[in-house]
Amino acid sequence: MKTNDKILLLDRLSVCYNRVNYLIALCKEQALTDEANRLGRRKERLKLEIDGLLRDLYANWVGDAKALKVKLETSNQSMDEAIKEIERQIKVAENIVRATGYIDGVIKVAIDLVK
Amino acid sequence: MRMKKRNFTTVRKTVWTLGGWLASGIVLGLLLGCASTKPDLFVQYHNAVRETQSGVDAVLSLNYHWTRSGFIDDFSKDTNSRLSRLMIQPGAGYEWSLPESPVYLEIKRTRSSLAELNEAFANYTSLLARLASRDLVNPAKFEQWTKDLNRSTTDALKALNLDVSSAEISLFSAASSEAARLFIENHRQRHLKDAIEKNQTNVVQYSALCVSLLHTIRGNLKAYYVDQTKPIQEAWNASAGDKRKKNTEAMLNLNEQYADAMRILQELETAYNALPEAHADLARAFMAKPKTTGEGIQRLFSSARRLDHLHQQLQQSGK
Repeated sequence: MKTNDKILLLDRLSVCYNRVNYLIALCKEQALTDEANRLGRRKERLKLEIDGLLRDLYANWVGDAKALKVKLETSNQSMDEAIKEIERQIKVAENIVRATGYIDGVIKVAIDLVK
Repeated sequence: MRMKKRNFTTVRKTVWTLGGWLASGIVLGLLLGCASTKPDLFVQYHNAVRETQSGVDAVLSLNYHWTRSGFIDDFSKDTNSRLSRLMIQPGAGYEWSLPESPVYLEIKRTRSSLAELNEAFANYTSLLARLASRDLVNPAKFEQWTKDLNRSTTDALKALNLDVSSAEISLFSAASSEAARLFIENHRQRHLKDAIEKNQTNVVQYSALCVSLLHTIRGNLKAYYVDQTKPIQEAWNASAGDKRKKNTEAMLNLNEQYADAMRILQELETAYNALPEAHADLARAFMAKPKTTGEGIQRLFSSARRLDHLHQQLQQSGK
């Protein structure tokens, strides 16, 4: 059964579970104990089905989430590297500006020496 | 004289480097045109994702508590229950298991997996915002370099007795710094565009996965609401008159919690469904389209704001 079908079934069973519970409450209010007990057994059966479905759905979700997390982390790593590359480029630009200043300083000293 | 010649060569090399930037900068400047990333949209996207994530955690927490107390109630009242079923069996290393795993433990595992997945996704949106931020290629830094270049070039040209006007020097310094900035800016925009395009599938998958979890939580809460009514019903049946006020109030509080949780789940579904379109909007923000206002992001952001309000309501009804 596909996840979407399981979710749909869970929704239907949960609604049914609520209705049975409501019927039990009505039976008890009208002192219909036998009917309430009979419905109580159906209710227990429904609960077992619901719990089984929930366990299944949560376990599958955890597996899917883990796989997606790995994909996101890989992508984040390459984005982080891209940011570092840009920061490196800015550093290179800064170094070139500094080097230009340094070269100019050397030229001045050299010219003074020639004079 | 030989020294002077060598110095001229050095200056020429520097001029060539700066000239190279200048040329590529002019081309890039034309290519980039009006295309500018809108950092605010990226920050809004990141904040909306964070708000949505805390909304899911709030309903998942309520779901956990209801399911756990429902289990305790059922287990305690069932005459067939054996305490040995609740005894942990330690395995190798950190492993452990229970003879039968109760649903609330599955929710606990899911909550921890969701936290990890959300962290990875929030890291992604945070990296996007960082890559889109103007601070990464800060124009002020390049302006300062223009001033530095301007000053040192003037000094060098003076020393070489070259007759170049100060206006020409300023223009040259500004142009070469701007060229370098445009060159790096182009790299930044390309990386940002690539990241958004490559991750669109991941965002669609993340959104679908979260919606599927919301539907599971919805079914879970629906079922365990019944279990929450049980002790109230029993207390009601066992009391009369004024003593029933407390039970009536407990029932109303429970109903408010249920209704608030359903409203949050519905709003969360709207927000998660808006996530992929809002993400695609970020890519559109690159285009030189003045009409791009990020409507998908605005929708997501509005939903996140409503969630914040509902989230607070849920916390208050739970008190």
